Amino acid sequence: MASLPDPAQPRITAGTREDVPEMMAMIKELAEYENALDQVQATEQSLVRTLTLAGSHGHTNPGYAKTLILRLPVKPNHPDDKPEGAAAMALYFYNYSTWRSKPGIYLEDLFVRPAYRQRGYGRMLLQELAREVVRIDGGRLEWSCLKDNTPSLDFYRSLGAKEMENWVQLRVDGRQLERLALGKTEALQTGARNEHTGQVLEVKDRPGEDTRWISGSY
Amino acid sequence: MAEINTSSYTIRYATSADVPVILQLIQELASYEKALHEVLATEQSLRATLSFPEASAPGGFTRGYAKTLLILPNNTSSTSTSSEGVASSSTNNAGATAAAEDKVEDKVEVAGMALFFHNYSTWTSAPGIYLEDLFVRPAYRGTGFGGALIQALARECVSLGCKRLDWSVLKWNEPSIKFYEGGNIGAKRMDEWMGMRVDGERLEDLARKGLGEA
Repeated sequence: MASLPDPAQPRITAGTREDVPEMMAMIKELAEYENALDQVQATEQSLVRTLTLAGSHGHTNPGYAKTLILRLPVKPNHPDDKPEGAAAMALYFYNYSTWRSKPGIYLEDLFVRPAYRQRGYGRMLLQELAREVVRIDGGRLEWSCLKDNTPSLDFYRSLGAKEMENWVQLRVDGRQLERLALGKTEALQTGARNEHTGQVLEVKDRPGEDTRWISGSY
Repeated sequence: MAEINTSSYTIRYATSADVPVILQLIQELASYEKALHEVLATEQSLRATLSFPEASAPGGFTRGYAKTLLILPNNTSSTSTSSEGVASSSTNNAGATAAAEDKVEDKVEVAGMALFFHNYSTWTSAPGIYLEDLFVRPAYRGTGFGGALIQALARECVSLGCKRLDWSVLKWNEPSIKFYEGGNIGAKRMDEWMGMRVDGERLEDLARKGLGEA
């Protein structure tokens, strides 16, 4: 690695606590772009609490995902660029391949601010992530793409990515996840009593819904 | 909590002492898929990369990339004539306590495992669980052990504040997909998404590109 960063080049660093406000802004911008701003429940506080951030004193707080921030050059070429302004980010976590017993990286979010597109910043972030996979003696760099997003699919293929055509992802979330966690036995559905605490598990019907809402502690 | 002890099975986290069994299960699964030669994992590599419960460690687990739940049959239950737990995955009566620490597992064969790691959802800034491997030995199939493991992960999600339980399945595995989409589990298919992967030489190429370039 070069000992001194080139002031005319963008810099990629691990996200720190100081970067969190910019991360929050970019997350909202991405959501807005997808007409889903109301779905963003994240706040700066929740990001600090759940992300692994690089500390200013060299230590990291453990969290569930890491980030890379790409900042504009110290000496930008483009007159409208703010020196060292945050231009792009990647959010990722480590996954695992059992058969090779090797970690990998799953890229959850990749976002380049519209003003800075077509400069290769997305590619740079993916390259940095590929280097991170190699660094951890990992085997794979993975992410997901909407099937109808042809431009993105073409771009990813140009980087050497292959499509996992034979697989489909399954998900349990929301109330279905709670129902699965609580169990769907007949006993629970008819209002059984928790045999250890004696508490009655209530079953409430919500008007207009055909599924039963199960409450009560486990 | 994922760990549970019912009249028909016990689910507990694998410790480093279980690594030989974990490797056996991995090899059995690969063998079943006619891909045993693709398993490069060894006991040593598993021990180095998996996470195991340890009371003194932060979060109660050693550092590692994935955790493993094991399911063991409880054949020595006093309610052996009970018909519960035969076909349904929801055999855990409410309030069942965590597995006892006496070494029942030394005498009882492991029936299956679920290997998983945490993923993350940015918009909710909440973790989730990604189930990487689910395997029940053929001798124990049809008794709801697979569903019980999935349900254990759902409990873990709720207790950790995870918002999602994800996994992947081969598209032509219709029986499995039907089971997962069915009423006991209620999974939905993320059909509009395509998984992308860079590995092998392409990964090395991508890592090498761009060094020293604009």
